[in-house]
Amino acid sequence: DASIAKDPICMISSSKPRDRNTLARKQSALFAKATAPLKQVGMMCFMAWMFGNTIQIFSIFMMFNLIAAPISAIMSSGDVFPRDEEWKQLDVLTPRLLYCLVHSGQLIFGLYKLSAMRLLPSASSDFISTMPVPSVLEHAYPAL
Amino acid sequence: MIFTIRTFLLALSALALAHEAAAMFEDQAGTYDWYKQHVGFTASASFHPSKPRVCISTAQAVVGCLNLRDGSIAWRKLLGSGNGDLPSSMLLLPQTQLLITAVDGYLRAFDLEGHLKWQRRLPSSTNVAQLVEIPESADGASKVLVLQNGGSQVFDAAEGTELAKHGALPQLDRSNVAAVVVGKTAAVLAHDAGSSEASLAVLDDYIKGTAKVETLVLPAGLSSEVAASSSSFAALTADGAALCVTSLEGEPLAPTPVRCKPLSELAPELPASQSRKLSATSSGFVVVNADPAAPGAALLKVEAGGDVSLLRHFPKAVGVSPEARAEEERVVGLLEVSGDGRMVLVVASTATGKTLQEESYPAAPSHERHVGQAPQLLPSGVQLGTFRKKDRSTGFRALVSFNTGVTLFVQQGVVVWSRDESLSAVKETLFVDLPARGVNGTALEGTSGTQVDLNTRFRYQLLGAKIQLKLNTPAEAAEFTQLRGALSDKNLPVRDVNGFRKLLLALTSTGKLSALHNGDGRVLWSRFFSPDSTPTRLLPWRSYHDIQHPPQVLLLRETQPGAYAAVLNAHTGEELWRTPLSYGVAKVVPLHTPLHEGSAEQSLYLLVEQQQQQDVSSVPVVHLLPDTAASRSHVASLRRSLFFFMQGPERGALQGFSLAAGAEQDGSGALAVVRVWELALPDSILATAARDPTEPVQSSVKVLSDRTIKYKYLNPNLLVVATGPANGAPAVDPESGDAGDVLSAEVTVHLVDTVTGRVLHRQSHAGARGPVTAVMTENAVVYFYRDLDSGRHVATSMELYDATNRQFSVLDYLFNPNSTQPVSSFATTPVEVISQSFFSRVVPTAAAVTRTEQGITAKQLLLVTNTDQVYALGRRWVDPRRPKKQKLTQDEMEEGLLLYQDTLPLSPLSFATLDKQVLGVRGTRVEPTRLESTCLLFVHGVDVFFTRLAPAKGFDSLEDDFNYALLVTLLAGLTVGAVLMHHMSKRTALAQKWK
Repeated sequence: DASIAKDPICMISSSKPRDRNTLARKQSALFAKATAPLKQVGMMCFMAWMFGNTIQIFSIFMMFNLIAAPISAIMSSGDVFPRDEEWKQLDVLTPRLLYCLVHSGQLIFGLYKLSAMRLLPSASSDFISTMPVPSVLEHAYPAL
Repeated sequence: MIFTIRTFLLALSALALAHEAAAMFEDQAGTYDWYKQHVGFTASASFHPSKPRVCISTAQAVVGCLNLRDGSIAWRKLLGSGNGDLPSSMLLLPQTQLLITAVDGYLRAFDLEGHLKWQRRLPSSTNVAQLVEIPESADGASKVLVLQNGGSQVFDAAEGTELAKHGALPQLDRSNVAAVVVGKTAAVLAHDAGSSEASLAVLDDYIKGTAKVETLVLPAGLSSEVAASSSSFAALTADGAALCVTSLEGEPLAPTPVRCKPLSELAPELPASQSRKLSATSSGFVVVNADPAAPGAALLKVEAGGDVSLLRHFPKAVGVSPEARAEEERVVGLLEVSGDGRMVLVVASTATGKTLQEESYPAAPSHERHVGQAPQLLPSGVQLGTFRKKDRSTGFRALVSFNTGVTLFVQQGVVVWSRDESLSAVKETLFVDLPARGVNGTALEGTSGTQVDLNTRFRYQLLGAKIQLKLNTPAEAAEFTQLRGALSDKNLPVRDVNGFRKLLLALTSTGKLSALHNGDGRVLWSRFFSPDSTPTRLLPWRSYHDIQHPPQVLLLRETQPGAYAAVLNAHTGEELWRTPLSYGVAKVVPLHTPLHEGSAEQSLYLLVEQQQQQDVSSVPVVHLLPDTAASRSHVASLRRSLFFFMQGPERGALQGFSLAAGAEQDGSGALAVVRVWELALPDSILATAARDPTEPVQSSVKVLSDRTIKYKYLNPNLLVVATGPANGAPAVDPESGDAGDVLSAEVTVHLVDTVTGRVLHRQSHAGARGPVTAVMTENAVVYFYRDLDSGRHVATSMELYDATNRQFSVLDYLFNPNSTQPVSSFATTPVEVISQSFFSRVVPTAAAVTRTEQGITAKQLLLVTNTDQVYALGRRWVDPRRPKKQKLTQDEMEEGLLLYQDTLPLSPLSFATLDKQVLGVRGTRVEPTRLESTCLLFVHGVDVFFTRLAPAKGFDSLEDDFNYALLVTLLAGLTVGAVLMHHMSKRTALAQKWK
């Protein structure tokens, strides 16, 4: 069959016995891959928390990383979980979503951090530049 | 965008937190600031008996001594407010080496080093006190006879003890007084100018004698020129044509009958003149024509019986000195001044009329460019001194002061030094733009700075780098400082991008308009006005948005006779037009809605006519300036929104006026006005303050620490009025006589809407007294007063907020153009006032606020202190929201709040005037530059001081001495390093791959 044709001759004997669990193993490997950044995300968030809410060069770098990394990871999640043409029944979407969820956790933490650092325009005071100074209808001049 | 603004503001607040004080390094002093010390217009002078000094007292109430070698100030003291309107008199007693002055209601004695020896109070502070030296008598003590308000006092000069006091004689309470002491007898002649009656009082003993007053009736009215010689009095008649003389003769002394003799008879060669001056010598009088058109002086001798005869006529003299003693001889100096300023000093004996010395002197050096009519040089004072020449003979030298403010010291045919004191009387100032480079820049050509080659610039940068890396020698540091001055472009007579270089116009009360360069204070041009056409106001007139046209300024003479309005080209000083005004101007009201005519902005003024009698019902007569069809229609379009207010005829009354309908069509030239409101406040008005209507406001809201917003109350028609017991009023109740409770004195502050006359808020301070100093900016009011209980000065700060309940919606502000409604005084807005008080160690006499182009930069209060300095106090210190607790939260710190302390800080580094004292500060002027961080400050009094202020540090510019060479070297080094490293890493990687 096709799989035998793909495998080199000498390797058939060794791969054959695991074949029936391959799907399950592949699926679990995908889940493992999806949750793998969890540790890293946790570490990043912990570090960001340790940095505090002050604005300085390191915390700005950190913030940039904290937000840019999950976005780029989510954007490129398609490459991390490619559709396996061989195992059509393999579920790629759920691990990919999980992967995105883990990264969006970092993104949310990043945004929370940004807000804690008061860099998010979330309060009415952030829009004062849109408020013109009201004009005055009457003018009284002093002649004291 | 918002992100950047926030970051920027945060960075700004961080900067502001880091450095409160506007401190600078020692080598930066004098880079942006300049300072000129003056003494004022010399009123009287005396040569120091032992040191090479001349001691003077001036019209600006300064006494001091100048060094005879270079004219530098040895010491000086200000004895009053320095306004130039205080009558002062001075007497130098050579024996006791004391300088006795009578200024501002005090008799003070200084030793010749400037130490105050004693001080006594005089009965009146406004009337001039006459000081007469009593020659040393048998007891050997020098005494001074002081005459004021018809009373006389005798003081011991050395101790200041009052030896005798004679009660006020109403007959002697006249405007002109002359006195003489013969032996123990004192005689005083008093009369009013224009009156033909004079009173002569003879005190048989000036210590314990009684006065005998005689009334002398004269054939003609007398002028104010009166003099007392050793034993006779003389006065010129009101028309200056005759001299009336009376002598004291006999035992006891009695006056001879008054004889008035026409001067045409006495001295036939003396040309007729209106401006004659009379001075006394020991043996007679000198009449001098202080008139360059008809010069001449007559030296007269009084003979026994009161007969006057001519000793000698000096045909060209225009000034005469008081008598001086030279060995055995008594002499006077007569000064001749030619049109080009050259002088001749003739020293003549007063007994014989013989000329002892005649020397000619060149004109005083002047670097000023005079525009228009050259000033008529007239000596206002000549003081003759003697010195011993190398050949042991006696030489004469003189201190000559001119009406233009120039004081010269001449000796042996040379002008040893000259001082120009005209800037000591600056009254009004105005900053205008300099011409642009290449465009009408010729106006101020020849006043440019130096040209420097590239080598010097490179050397400057190199030295800067060395100094930064601390590799320099002291000589290099000195060279760097010198190069910095030479390379600085601050003195170019053209405008710059940042708007740092400006032309500063200064109008003096003596009728001189000077244009100063703000880089170093040099005078680019000046213009003189004769005393009968001295302008009183200097105002902006026309400015252009293009660079082709020079700005124009308005000069206004408010008082009649000779009231006029004239417009000058600010760059050249040339007069463009002049129109006489048929009325005297009481008030000038600048309208802040200029008229646009092409690229020009024309300023408009309402002139309130002076009225003879003002009663409650009268409305002022108002004229428009310029009175053209365009301006009239502009004012007509503003009619509904134009109001003005003034103080009413009664104490504590304010009146508001608006233009009547159809006012602009009135054919009489005046605008009809109607009174719209009147407000009577119970006490005297101590101070008023209003917002500068042209002040830029960046934001109408304030962001609090919890990121909510508060709407500022930004009504420009708000007047702060402080009322209370009048300044100087006795604390004791004059009727009941009891001192009362200190808390009964009260200062009340009212916030008045000046369109409707409504009082929006009032707050009272019990136990407080004036004088009050108030200042208002944006929505903040700060005022200072004296607290009687603690004896300290208190600053109360108020911030006003709009208390209307409003819902904030971003969408509204972003997409609804009608979301911001215009403010009207007729629609009541509830005001929330946050107020807080602080003790102040600074005692302000006036206050101003810094002003920047956009109003973004944090503001500083500029407090003119009673020590004649200017203290810059950050607005954060007087923030009424300063929390009263132990520790600030993170949010409060971010907002820039400071913990409340009961006393405002006094940091020696926060003085805007640095370590200088601007003697007798009369005014300050703040001008924004085009750079948001920076503004210019000019302080004027007797001294003048200019500096550049950056209230929140220079956040938007690099410093002038920023080292570009170091930056370029660093960048180049980094680039080379990067290229090298890249090359090396490539080679290593390749080598590793081959392994």
